Amino acid sequence: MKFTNRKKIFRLILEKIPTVFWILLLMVIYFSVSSSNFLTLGNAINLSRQGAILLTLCLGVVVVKITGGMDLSNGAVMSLCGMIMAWALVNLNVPVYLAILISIIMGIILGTLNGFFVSILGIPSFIATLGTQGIAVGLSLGMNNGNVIAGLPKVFYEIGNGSIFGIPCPLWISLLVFALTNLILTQTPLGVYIYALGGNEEALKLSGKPAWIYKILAYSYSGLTAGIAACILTSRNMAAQPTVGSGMEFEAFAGVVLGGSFIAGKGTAIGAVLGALFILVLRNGLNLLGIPTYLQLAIFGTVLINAIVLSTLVERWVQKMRDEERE
Amino acid sequence: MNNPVPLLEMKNICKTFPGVKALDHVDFDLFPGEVHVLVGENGAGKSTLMKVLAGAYPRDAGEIFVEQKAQPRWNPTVARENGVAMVYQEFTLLPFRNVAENIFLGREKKHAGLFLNKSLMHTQASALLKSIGVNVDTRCPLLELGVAEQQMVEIAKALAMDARILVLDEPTSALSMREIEQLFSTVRKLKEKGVGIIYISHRLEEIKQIGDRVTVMRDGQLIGTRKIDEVSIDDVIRMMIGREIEKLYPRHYCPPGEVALSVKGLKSGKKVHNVNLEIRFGEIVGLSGLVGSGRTETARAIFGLDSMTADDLEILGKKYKHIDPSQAVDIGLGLIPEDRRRDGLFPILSMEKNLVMVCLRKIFPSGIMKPAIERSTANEYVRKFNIQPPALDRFVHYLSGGNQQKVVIGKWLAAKPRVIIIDEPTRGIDVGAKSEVHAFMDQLANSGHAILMISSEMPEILGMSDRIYVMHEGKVAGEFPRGTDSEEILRRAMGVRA
Repeated sequence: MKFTNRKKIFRLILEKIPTVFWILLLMVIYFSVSSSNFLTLGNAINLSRQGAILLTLCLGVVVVKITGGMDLSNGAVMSLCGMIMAWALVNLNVPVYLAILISIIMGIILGTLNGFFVSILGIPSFIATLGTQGIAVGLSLGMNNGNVIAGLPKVFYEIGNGSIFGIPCPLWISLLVFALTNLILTQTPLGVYIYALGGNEEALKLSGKPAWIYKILAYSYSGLTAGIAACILTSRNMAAQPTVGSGMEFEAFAGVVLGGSFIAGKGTAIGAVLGALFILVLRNGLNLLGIPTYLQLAIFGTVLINAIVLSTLVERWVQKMRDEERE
Repeated sequence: MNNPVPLLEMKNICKTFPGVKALDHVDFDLFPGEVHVLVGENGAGKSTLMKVLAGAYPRDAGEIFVEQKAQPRWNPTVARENGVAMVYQEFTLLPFRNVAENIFLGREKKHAGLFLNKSLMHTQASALLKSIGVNVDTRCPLLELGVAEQQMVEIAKALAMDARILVLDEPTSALSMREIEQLFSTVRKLKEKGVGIIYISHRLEEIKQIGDRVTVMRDGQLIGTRKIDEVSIDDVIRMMIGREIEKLYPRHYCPPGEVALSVKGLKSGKKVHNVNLEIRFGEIVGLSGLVGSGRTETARAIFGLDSMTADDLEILGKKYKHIDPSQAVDIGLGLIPEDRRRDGLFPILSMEKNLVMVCLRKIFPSGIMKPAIERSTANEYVRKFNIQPPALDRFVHYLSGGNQQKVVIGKWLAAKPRVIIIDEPTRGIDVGAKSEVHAFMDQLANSGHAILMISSEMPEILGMSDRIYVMHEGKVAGEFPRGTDSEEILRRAMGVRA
């Protein structure tokens, strides 16, 4: 009896804490030992400024991933939001708060467009968001003939580079987004419906709820986070560059999957954060160790695949233990 | 039934689909606190009637009364408002979410109209479950519950919507004996609460245990409604099929030949513990048993689909230690699976491609296909089985269930097997196609094939088999000759010792 209890606790630990957490822990220990620059305040602040962007994107993608979809457009949407914001700041001299609002609204519009394609037209999310990605890349390249928009007002600098109570602003922003995502997913009916969309869409429809609206909202939310991430990114660089976000969608997607969202109906905000941290720490650590870029990419890919394989294996193991318990 | 006011009355309900009269002036009523069993073969019109009740299908003619009030407008919303709830065979639950969230899906309890009031949801959910005699932790994710408990959650979900007319569609099809008992005690609790229950089942033995009245339907018509004490199961069967069993099944017995397949001490996975059986050429052997007794798994193990061990496995005079599916096909074994859509067909390939799928290697040993031969091979089976419509390039997805089943059987016969294992040969197909399939099986056996037939339908087992094995909890629990009565077989299947 005692033995089975201990086994159950072991199972619960494996189940409740995403596997990526343990890998992350190992990585942090390894990098701390092998590079004296890793576990320093300076590096932590640098990491959080740079990492807040991916973190914010991941928190949007996880919502879409829970409904069973994917979002390949958010990197490009982020670039486009940044371009439009910078253009408004430079050419229209709009106040900073209005520029931020423009970026966020633009993100929501493009996200909702994805939602429209997927939910109303029934296009697979992979294709729909790939299409939106194309549109967004094209528009942001066209805005300034493929050139960077620079010369942003001084006040704007604070968003990406300032600090409040010694904590970098980007980190504050991503913490807020985390709190909001977590609140929606765990404390509101909308969150239940998001999970229901991935778990059993038919069940949601049978309980008389407009499932299609919630599906659109999930994509809108991913757009919203892309708009927010654009503000941090543009301020960090004090310029908007049309292709800056390309590739980010895959990192965000990988982060979310690592964070435990293997299949539709699964995933959490905290998992998304852990997944994003995994990617950030890995990249940062490899940088500090002075590993050449080409090798970094190869190592990055290898570790990523291994981490996902391991997480999947643990997932299956937990499933097996659960079956045994039931018998 | 002291309460004379019926909860529900459906009068003269008619429903026609293109080419089929699905419901032909059907009357049905239900009293509070009653279990009204609805039986009939597949295609008899039970599910159409229930879909009319749920408002999913508009009726062509007839009236619906709820507590004697006529309901001229009837649609899913009105049905739900009047307390009609369906518990489907496929659960409409969220596997990763907890019990309380599932029960209140779509009508969550809220704080300030915005945030989930989880504690209230958990208290109400567990009160609801207790009231139907179920004790599960409402914080437990659904996938950690057993099938029966999940079903209870589904029932509780219906009650949370104030269901008064509860339709249970084949609720026991996936349950073990113990779980069925649990379900029945819940059903009794529901009766005490005055809920009217329409209970659809193919398991006739359950009718006596749980029903108050039984209504039999056949070919879209109401055959009769009887008090449960006034009918025997045989009466019900007679009403369902409208003919005597002997006339329905065309088995022409002929004396069997050599042993075609014999297996001793077969073990595989968790469901097959110790199976001994043998099949002779020219014989149809029935394999009976309850769902979950390991029949399908036995077939899979013999065919080499799942890993297995056996003390002795002899097929067509040769001994084998292990066998894999491609080897099985080569030596002349065929397995016609239970779930044809999932395991038997390539739905969006043409009938022709489906029919030649298994025999490709035999008819084209060089590895290069010749369209003319492919076509003529496929045509042979279309003619032999009278597949309708005989259009070779049509996707099998668009064929009716009966014709799909003929394609699956034809595809295996094209590979010329000598030992055929056929799992639920006539599940979900109409009466006409059913007797055609039975006639083929009879012909096959009498032309020297050995057939192992797995079936959950007792009349089919009794009518088609020359010998019957009964499985119980992964073991062969008994072997019976043709002519054994159904009660004897059923008792053995349920684990009652002789």
